[in-house]
Amino acid sequence: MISLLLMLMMTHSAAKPPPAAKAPAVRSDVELREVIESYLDASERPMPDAQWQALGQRAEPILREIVSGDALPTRRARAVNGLVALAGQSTPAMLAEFSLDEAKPLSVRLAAVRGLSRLTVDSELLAALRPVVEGAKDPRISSTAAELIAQRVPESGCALVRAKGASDLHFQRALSACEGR
Amino acid sequence: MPRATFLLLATALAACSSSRTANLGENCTVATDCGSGLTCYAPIVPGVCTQACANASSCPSGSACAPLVTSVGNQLCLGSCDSNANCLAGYTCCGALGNVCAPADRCSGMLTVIIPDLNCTPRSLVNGGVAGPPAQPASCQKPVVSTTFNGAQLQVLGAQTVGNVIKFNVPAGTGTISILQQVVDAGAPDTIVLPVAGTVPNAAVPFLLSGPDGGVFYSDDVVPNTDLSVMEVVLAPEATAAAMILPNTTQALSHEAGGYPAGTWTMQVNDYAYECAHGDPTTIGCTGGKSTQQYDIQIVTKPVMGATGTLDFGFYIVSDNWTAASAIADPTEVWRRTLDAIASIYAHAGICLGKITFYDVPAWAKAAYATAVNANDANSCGTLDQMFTLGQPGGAIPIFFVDDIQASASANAGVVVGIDGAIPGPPGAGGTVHSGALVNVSNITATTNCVAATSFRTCGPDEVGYITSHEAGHYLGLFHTTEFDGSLFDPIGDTSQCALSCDTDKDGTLTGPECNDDSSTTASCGGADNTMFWLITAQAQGLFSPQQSRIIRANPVVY
Repeated sequence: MISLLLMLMMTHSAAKPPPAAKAPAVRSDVELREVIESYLDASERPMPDAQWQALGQRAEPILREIVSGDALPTRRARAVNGLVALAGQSTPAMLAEFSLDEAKPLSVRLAAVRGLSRLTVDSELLAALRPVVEGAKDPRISSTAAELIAQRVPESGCALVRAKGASDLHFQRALSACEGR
Repeated sequence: MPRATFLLLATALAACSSSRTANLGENCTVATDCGSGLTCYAPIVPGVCTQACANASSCPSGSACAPLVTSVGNQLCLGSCDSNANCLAGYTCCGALGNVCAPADRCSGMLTVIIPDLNCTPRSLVNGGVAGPPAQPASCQKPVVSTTFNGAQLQVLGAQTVGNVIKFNVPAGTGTISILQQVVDAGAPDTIVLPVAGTVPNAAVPFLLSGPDGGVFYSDDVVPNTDLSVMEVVLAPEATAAAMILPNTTQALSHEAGGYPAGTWTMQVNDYAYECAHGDPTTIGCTGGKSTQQYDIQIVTKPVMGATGTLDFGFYIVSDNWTAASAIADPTEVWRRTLDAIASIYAHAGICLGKITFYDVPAWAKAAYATAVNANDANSCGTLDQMFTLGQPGGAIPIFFVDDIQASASANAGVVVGIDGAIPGPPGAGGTVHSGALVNVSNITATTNCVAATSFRTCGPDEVGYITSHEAGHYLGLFHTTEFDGSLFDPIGDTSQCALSCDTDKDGTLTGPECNDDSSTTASCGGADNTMFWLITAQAQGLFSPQQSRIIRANPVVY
């Protein structure tokens, strides 16, 4: 089983545990932006929350600017991931807005929906995601919100999931999560 | 000189003095037609004399430095113009390139990359129809797939119980040995539990692999050398279906000269559950052991590889934004640019693209997988592995294009751009739980920041091509040159490494700027330009090292 040693080390899947958070030795806003841009570079693993948090709240306005800019959609979505990790006070409202913004790329909107779920406690989740389930025109967005509701608050949310998704294949996972509820 | 007159004057001069060499902007057929320091850029006949340039000031008056990726350089001095009337016959005044005279088919902003020293026949695009069953299977699929190879190249040893010692023949002149283990009747557990590591995949891995004279090529009880490049083979074990392909290290490439030892080789069929059941010292305290499971064993051998080869791809369109037909037709040409990027990257390995087969998948599969694959789910019955079972038989590299990929472990959640099914993928065996790689295709229409020169970090089609190439590199047996924290390097001696000491901002993550010293192949803070670096950075150039290239060409699916 020596090969296990290698398996545990190699990150061909994204399942490797996040590294310990270390604040980068950043001195200026320019350097901070460079670090952020490098964290947004595409890869097979997300940047761990702790890595974003180590940058501090100074990173938030830069990330907001990138999310609304013209970078590649996955780059903007990773900026959303960073904002979620930083968990600023106004971030949930911003994520709710992004979730329903039909002009935003799919990747950004999905990152916003998932991020909104992460920042919302169970007791408020249905209220936070109901507008997305009911209002998003793209079924990939609405079904993702429905699935998050079905997984976390099935008792209160499955009626909405069934009503919205009964005839749409995209809602199959959400409906499966509601089975027996 | 007004820029509009530059080429007209050049043409007139050329007409008056046919015996002299041509100046910049004049017609040519070969480089020797042009004057000192110039070369002939000839995507059409006749070509035009030109030179590579770094910026506008490096071109003579009346010409401009145009972004045009060619075998001459990434930017060329081309004659400036105001209209087509200023240009030579066959050339157009191209606004997209900055008002220069360029061949009409190079003026779209979606330009074909010209690959030097590799005479590839044009790749073909084929619509393969719908892949996968019309309805979602009710249970987890773990199919046993027959490889596409046949004749003397293939040895089918059938169902073998773990612990069996099996024999197979290696012909003289063999440069590649591939061993494919696939669980029979889903009879092996997916995982076992170890006291130290917790739940781990029940990897299907040979216990011992020996050559004709008893020389050991792999033992699962030998601690790997710190420098993996000196090992005969390095594994990233997988449950259910797993391939071991030799060579994948620098040491293994030493067998290139005469091939692997010819004769009868032996191998003990094994997985972790068997080791657990039999009390292997490395599994003390484990649970989940079993010793009756069987694996289907297929051995594929291949003669020592040549300097070039051809690779086929299977593109599975698991996206609500595309179909196989729309991707092939694609009037926006973003798929063509993506394929150009892949072709330019694999040209570094001496590889041409052959047949690209586009597949649709059933509606249920799009709904199930387009945005829902969890990259962290290593379970054979999870979304990632089950999607791969849609793959069709054959030797094409299966790439599944989806609209979104999430890694969703707590505190480590977010978007990822691609993920491989296994390193290496089962060669020639589409449809197993590890037969494929996943690519996030959501950026492919993001062309706002595309210019003529390839830009892997900012141009969507180029980025998708880069990700596809990276994931295909894993499928072909390549590891990351450097992992994100500098804790591990690939088993290849001629790729640059980037150690943790290169982490100048001390954040524990090695980024492009920190791994950009490629002043030599032994630089200690390099590798960001390599296709298999862990991150796609501004320094990415889509390179493969010579040894990486040889390992790619050794893969059985390269022909």
